[in-house]
Amino acid sequence: MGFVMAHRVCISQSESFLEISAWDQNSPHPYSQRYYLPKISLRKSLADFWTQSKIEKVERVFLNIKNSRTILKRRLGHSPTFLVTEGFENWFDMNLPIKTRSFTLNPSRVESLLDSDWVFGVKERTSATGEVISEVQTEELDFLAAKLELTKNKNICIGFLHSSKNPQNENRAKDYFVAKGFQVFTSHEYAFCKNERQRWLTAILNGYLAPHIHEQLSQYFASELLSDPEMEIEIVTGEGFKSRDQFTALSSLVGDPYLLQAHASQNEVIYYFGFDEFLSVESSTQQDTLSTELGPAAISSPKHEVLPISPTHVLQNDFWGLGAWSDSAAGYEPGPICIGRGLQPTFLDVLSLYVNLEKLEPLQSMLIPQNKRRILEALHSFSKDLKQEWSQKELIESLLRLALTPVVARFPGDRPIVFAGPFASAMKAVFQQLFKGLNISLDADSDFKLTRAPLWREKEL
Amino acid sequence: MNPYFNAACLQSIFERTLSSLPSAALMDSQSQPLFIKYQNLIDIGTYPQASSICDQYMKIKNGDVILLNDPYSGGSIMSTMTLIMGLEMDSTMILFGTRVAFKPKLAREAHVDQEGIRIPPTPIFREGHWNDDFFNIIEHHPLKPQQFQLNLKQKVGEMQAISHQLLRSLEICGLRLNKKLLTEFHATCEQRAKKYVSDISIGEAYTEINLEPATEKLCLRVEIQDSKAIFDFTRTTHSASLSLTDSAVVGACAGALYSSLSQSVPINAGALRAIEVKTPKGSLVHAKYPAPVFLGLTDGVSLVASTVIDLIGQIDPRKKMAQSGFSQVSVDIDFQQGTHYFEWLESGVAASSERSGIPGLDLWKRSHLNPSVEATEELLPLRVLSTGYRQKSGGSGRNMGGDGVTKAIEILQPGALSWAISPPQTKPEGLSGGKAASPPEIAVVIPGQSKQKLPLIGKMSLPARSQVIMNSAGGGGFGEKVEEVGD
Repeated sequence: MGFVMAHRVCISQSESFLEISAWDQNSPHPYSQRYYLPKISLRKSLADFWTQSKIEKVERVFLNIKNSRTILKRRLGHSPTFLVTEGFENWFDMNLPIKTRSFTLNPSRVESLLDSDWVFGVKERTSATGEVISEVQTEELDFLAAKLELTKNKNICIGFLHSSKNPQNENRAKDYFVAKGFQVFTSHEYAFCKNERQRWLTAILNGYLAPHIHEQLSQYFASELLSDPEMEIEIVTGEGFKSRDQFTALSSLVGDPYLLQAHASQNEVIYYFGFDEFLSVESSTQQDTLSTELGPAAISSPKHEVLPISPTHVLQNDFWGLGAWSDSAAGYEPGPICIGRGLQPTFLDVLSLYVNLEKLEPLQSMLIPQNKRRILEALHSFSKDLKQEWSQKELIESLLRLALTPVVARFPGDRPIVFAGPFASAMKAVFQQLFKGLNISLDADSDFKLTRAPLWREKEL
Repeated sequence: MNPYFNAACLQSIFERTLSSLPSAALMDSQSQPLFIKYQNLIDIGTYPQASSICDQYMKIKNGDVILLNDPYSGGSIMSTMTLIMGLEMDSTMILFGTRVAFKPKLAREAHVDQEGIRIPPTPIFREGHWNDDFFNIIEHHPLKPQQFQLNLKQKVGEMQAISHQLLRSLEICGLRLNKKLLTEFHATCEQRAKKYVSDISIGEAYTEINLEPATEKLCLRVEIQDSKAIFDFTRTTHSASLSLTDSAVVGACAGALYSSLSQSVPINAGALRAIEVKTPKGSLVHAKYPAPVFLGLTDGVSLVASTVIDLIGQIDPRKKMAQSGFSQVSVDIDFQQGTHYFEWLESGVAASSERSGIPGLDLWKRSHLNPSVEATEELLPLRVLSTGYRQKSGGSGRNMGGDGVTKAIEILQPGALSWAISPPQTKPEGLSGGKAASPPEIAVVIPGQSKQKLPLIGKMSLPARSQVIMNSAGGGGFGEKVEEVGD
């Protein structure tokens, strides 16, 4: 019987793409592959990768489940029940940020994660000094439990005032509902937060994302390929690799920054240009809060920023009559024109007219060269009211510059800039062509930087 | 390079580099605003005036920072400090403004100098040195805001870092802020702003609003010409209680006009060239020193902006909306150990033909975070009993008006309460058959006594364990409510 080499595998899954790298301790070269999920299922992708990379045994798996951002943005999670100090039932929603920056007669706050029918006030109170003024009564919890048991919603978030000073009431309510089979997220677990708003938001985000993340993970755990009981499976979070029962759903939002820090020099700022989003990561700085559209949430990770442009930001009408890039990524449903998906031009469409993307996996098999004309027609339609003649080159360069100007406006002046990710090489060429005096270096392991990061970490250790 | 493209790039750089500041502005050497990131209506009109006065009297040089809070020199309410920094770019002086807000205090005084420490334009950082004499004087003033020096010096440091980033970004993008580019930028902005203003129907409308006492009036005629809007306040009287600076009124008119457009328009010199504001000197919309301006700058600007919206709706029915609650509910409680509580509740937004109103959201503010309940209770001897939307306070109708906000507190130590509900204290009206919303109100419950509704303004002493209950107005409803008919 021959010796079986044990592999380590890192899997990074976003809404539409699956990136996998595998390596063993004797081989300096990891094998990596990327799959487009609308075309090939998760199960088939894993099976194909295992075959292609000739994996026989896996000893350790790192899972980076990063589509929580999409779940959050599109409100595809599960609204948890929210128990709050009586009298403050609206308080969470009243503090949601307003959507528009400019004055408008149609203002609105960002959509809540809570369903107002499932927010309940509880007669309890703790003072600012931590003294329990009014204890949680079991009779009230009995009444609530009877209501909640009628639903399938098993997630409860608890946000009591001053629970960070004294968690007695939150703990009492938690113990009660845990005993009844509910999953409970208490706000005092984030006692270091600045105030009740941040604490409650963090608990609610965890409650909102948890069912989705666990459902995602269960797909992996159900796979025969990952069923070896000796296999160690860890989840990538903003603070490192955690076991399944140690990580919080919210921490999966910041797995990318943790991975990208690997193999980075002290002072570098890494710009990652991926298929789903572009982000910058400061290699030696940590942040305690994550800026979400609902406000800051308490989660630790390397300091990073999701950049205001990505492959699927779409062009919209704007004040200047040129077309402006949308505030957020639209994703690949429907997706860019260049791969035969949507009708609205995306950043990837404009990029595909300017640089050669045909060697980029898995884009090479997806690009439809005949669609170039459709993209150009769509681009010209945005600037038609200016009544100015634009050459094709002028139009494309202007739109790329508009997209990237907010990025260069934050480029660090005194730190080395490193580009990584599948689009890194293309983006380096674009930046150097369109902007002046930029000193950008390309990460040596650029294309599969994310999933090869654990390998680099091991080598460093 | 295409002027539209240059203008869009400049706007993008300004937005991005100044994004960490809640309120900021960049003006050219003529104090023409290139970019205004506003938090409220006042910011729009006052930043250009502040920079103009600072530059005229102080001759700002590169890196100098001038401080002011004088409302008659382009300041906001006096608890908010305005900083203007000189920034030399390509031999052109750019004036960079931002604001530092300290805790406000409800002021209902007869003289502006009784509303707080009034600081005229004063250099605080010049030729690389801090003005320590100034900070020492303020440090010993009984009304000095908390951590005044620390907060201001931190903000100046932030401005310096942003200035470096701004210069670097412009250089990377190959944009030189010289006279040619600035002239082209203003012209492009003006042309685009006028294009959108011209989408409003041409016409005019007039209204008179009676204040308290009824001899005091706000009179406004709005005229929409082809690509220009005129706001004429002729016949507006003086008011003893509600006075605004003319620059704040410009902000209220511009903010209201551009809010009514379907396209978000960056408010800068180009956009301001599309409007003309006529304010009679000495009237409540062009107050003269020493008229007190606190209430005018907090509540009066909302009244002016809401009046503009009403009139634009009369001229162009597509812009019609019921009245939002503009009578503000302000409460201030002084406690014995020198701390004080200030509260200013947001009202409900009115409904329009297209949508229902929005609860607890001031149309004219861009900072909507309510003070943390826990932080308030940690700092002050009081307990917040409840806070939430004021149920059924929005006007009914086909589209319901947004509810106002209710908040009840209990004070744990004796305190001196002052309150104000700004005039006119009327119900926010519904439109096209929609019903009016509930008006604002304030009540107190003193231990051993029954609930007592308070008049529009006043002061009183409260013993410990008293409760103060504040209710802001809802927004008016729109359209007749269609009764559901059973099968």
